[in-house]
Amino acid sequence: MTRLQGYLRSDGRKGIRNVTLVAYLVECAHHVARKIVDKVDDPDVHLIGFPGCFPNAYAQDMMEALTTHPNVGAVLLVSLGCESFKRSALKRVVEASGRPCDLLVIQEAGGTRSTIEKGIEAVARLKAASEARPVPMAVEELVVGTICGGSDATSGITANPAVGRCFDRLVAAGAACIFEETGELIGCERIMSSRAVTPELAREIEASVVKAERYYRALGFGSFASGNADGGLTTIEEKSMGAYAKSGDSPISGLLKPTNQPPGGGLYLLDIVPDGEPRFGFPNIADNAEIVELIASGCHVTLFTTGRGSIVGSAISPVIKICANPDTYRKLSEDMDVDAGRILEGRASLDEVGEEIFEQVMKVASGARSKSEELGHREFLLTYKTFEPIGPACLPTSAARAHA
Amino acid sequence: MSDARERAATGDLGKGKVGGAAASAIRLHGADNVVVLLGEASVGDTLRYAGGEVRAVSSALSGHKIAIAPIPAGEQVLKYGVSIGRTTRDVAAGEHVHSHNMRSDYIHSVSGTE
Repeated sequence: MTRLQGYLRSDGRKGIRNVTLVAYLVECAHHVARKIVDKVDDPDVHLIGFPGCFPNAYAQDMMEALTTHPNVGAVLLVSLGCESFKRSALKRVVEASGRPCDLLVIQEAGGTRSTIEKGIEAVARLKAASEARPVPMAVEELVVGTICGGSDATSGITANPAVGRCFDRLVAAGAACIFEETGELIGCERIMSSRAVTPELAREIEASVVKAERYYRALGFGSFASGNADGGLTTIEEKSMGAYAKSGDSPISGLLKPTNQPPGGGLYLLDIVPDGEPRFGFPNIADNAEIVELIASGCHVTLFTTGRGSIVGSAISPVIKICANPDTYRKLSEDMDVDAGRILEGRASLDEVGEEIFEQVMKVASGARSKSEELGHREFLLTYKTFEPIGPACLPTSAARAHA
Repeated sequence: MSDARERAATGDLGKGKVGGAAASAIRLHGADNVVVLLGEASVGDTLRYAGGEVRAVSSALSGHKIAIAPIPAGEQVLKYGVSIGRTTRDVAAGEHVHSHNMRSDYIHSVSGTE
């Protein structure tokens, strides 16, 4: 049995990293925050932030969830001073979680240079205050997400089903696994809802895909292009199955929205498409926006499948890169953790690659750095959105617990 | 996602032709009645996949589907262990399965769509 180690937080969750975050609360504070992180130059000090000046409940909730993520040990907030972000509320949330937290307001701290100097000192202090001895951690305490990006014809037959095999193994071991992007699941909502643990959850899942279809259509994006047919895909359900294969075969235990935490082990669908009429543009302007939402819902590690060759990592939680295309792997091996393209060349089976991904998750969760992490990738994207709270049918197990 | 939506399944899986001793197709699930070609197939090629082989009766490009058993008209085409649509006429083992002999079962949930 693999023995993991984690950092115990006051809410009972455990982190596989002990990151100190420097968070800017408006774009105007971004430069100062970035300078602090650059000068500290520590692989466990990460930069995150929200660029907007107008208030947004989603951004506030996201920043609260991210700054209290189990992989985070301490937080430095960098505010310009006049932005609308509720910095004191965020600081109270971080402090209430037992994490050391400092707030620097540039307009009160003497300007750019002074704030950078104070920030560097603050990070050293916070990092020292957050030092902790790791404790044993069980696989049941892990939350693992998955996303695909830079997909090609190989993604749906190598890396995605191999991640599905890994997810089955993780769910069987008691971990929580999260897949997402209802916009890519159009056409397989009935297949997906048939795996829901209750009929009420099945209806919620189907409704989330209807919402996604409407949303993307309003933005002018259909789901099935002629290039798909040229590549051998005949139907929308077939195309969506390629992305859906990442979810594996386990029953679906719940439907989350960003910042909702899985109440226990099992497989969860994360609905990242905003509620209401399209207001703030695309639900995810690039892959890292989805990764950040997976992390806000508790993911310790994200499994990223790619055919054409994405190279991104993430702040807060490591990204494991599973390369679907053997040619891409040969070109970008320094960025790829797992060569799933071997399946195409007859050098490995789906089960073998699934097992290798599982082992890679265990290694990274035990402290080994993933490729993107080692290379210093700490991408982060957070923009405006609107969500309604999830209904009680979305998390049947926690609803049952609440009534017990 | 943005990339995925635009580019999914537009590239070639393999540049070469199928044949030789290596697997030339992949069966993604034990219940599937089609396999996915890992290279271009010509009529008469023997297509090998884990658990069996089938002789191609149509030519088809890599990434495309070949039936590994006869699929009568109106039956489900199974890939990833699930139905991805139905045949519109009888399909023979070894035949290319695509828009000329199968169609989607999907009914758009959003009104006003085709």
